[in-house]
Amino acid sequence: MKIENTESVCLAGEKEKRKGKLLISIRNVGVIYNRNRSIFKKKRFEALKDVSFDIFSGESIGVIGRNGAGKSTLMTLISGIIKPDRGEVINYGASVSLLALQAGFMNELSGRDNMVLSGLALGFPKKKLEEKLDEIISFSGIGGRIDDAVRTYSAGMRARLGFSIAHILNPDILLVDETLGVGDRAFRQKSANAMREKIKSEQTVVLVSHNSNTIRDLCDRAVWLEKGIVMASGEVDTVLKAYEKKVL
Amino acid sequence: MGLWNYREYILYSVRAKLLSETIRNHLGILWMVLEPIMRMFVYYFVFVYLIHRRTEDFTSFLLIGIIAFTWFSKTLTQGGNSISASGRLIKQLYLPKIIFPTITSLVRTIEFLVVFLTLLIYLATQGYLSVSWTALPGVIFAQFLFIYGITLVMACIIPFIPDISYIISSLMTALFFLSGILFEVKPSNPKYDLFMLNPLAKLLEQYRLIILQGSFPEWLSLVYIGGSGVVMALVVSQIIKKLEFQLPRIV
Repeated sequence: MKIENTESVCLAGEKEKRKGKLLISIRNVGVIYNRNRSIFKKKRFEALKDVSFDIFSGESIGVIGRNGAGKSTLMTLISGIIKPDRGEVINYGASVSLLALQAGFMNELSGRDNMVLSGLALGFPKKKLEEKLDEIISFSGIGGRIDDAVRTYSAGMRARLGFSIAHILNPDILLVDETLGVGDRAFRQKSANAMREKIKSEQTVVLVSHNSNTIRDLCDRAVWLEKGIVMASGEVDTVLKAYEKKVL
Repeated sequence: MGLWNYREYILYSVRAKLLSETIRNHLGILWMVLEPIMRMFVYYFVFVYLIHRRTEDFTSFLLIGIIAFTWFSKTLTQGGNSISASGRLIKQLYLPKIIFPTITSLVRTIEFLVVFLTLLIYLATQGYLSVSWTALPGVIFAQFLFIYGITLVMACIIPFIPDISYIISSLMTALFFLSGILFEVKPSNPKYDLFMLNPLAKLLEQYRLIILQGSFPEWLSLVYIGGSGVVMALVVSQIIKKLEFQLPRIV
């Protein structure tokens, strides 16, 4: 643990020099959900009220906050799945992908088919996918069972498959929702290491978590979200201290 | 158009859906053909043995109706729910939503073509083959456009008003009886014109004209039916495009 911490401190210093170009700019963003329970009952819910920050290439941002703070909504905004009701999210041409994709899996199909399907859904051309296929399979550690139906996979194997696809395909910005959990302990270790590798390299990562240790370990900038508002952002230790003071 | 950029995903999904539907069962693809035959036997039993009512060529008459109607009803029921059913996926990544009803329509069309071709081969051996059969692609194309258009409409409405999917299943039962699958409505019938306002009834009539009677279809009706599908598809695809970022929030 201690070693990892020093490593991340070094990392942060190293990254500071390298901080690259602006990829996504989030400006005074607000998202309001209208939940129609029935024709007569309407419920207004402000998931995000006023959120602003920038994402630069090469940095890894940790978004911390309690359940219902608006973390997941923020992720869907960054990935371009929804648009804000107020403010704007400007993407300067970066491809964004959520890590640990599993939703599109078709149970009757083989892991291999599902891999291609997910990759195509992410917008990668089939040719590129076929080149990367072996790499994804070997990273996932699924081995010979890749041609078995996903139905027969354990929850951990499914998670590994989803993780490996996004990992190998290398989008400009990788969104990681730690609250989703990835596979068994061994693979979690492996994926944490892979993440660390990515963070060391040029990979831009936005990591969502309610665990401050993960963010301290992996990120070089933190954003604390509370009830749809950015309470603090900037240097990891400062933000996390403020968060822990409030929450614990 | 969004669809073109995602053609590889669409084609792979169509293949994947067909595969996963067929490998689940022991008889696999055979079920596509067996299912309508089994239904035909049920209706045949009821109509011929129980209430002693039959039209000429009753088995062929029934099979054509069942197969063409099932194409419509299955596509509409599944395709109408397709955007809602993809909720988990479209909350995780951006995909043009029109993709989902399109995939369902293509899957069900391929199923229809397999079953229909089998039927045609059978009927050809029974001596029905005639030059009028060359007009069949026209009827099939008109029906495809109609189905696609109306499926897009439903797929766009159901995420906002999920209750509609219940109405659809009742509507399908009504349409099943109102499209002349089990009985023939002849032009001499005083209600004929009213009955034929239903595009499905008109389409089934055209199939039977071509296959069983060896005559050519009413091209103008086919143009109307296909054209209405094109209009629906064009309008609704624009609406779906406008709702692109709204849909992931509500499904």
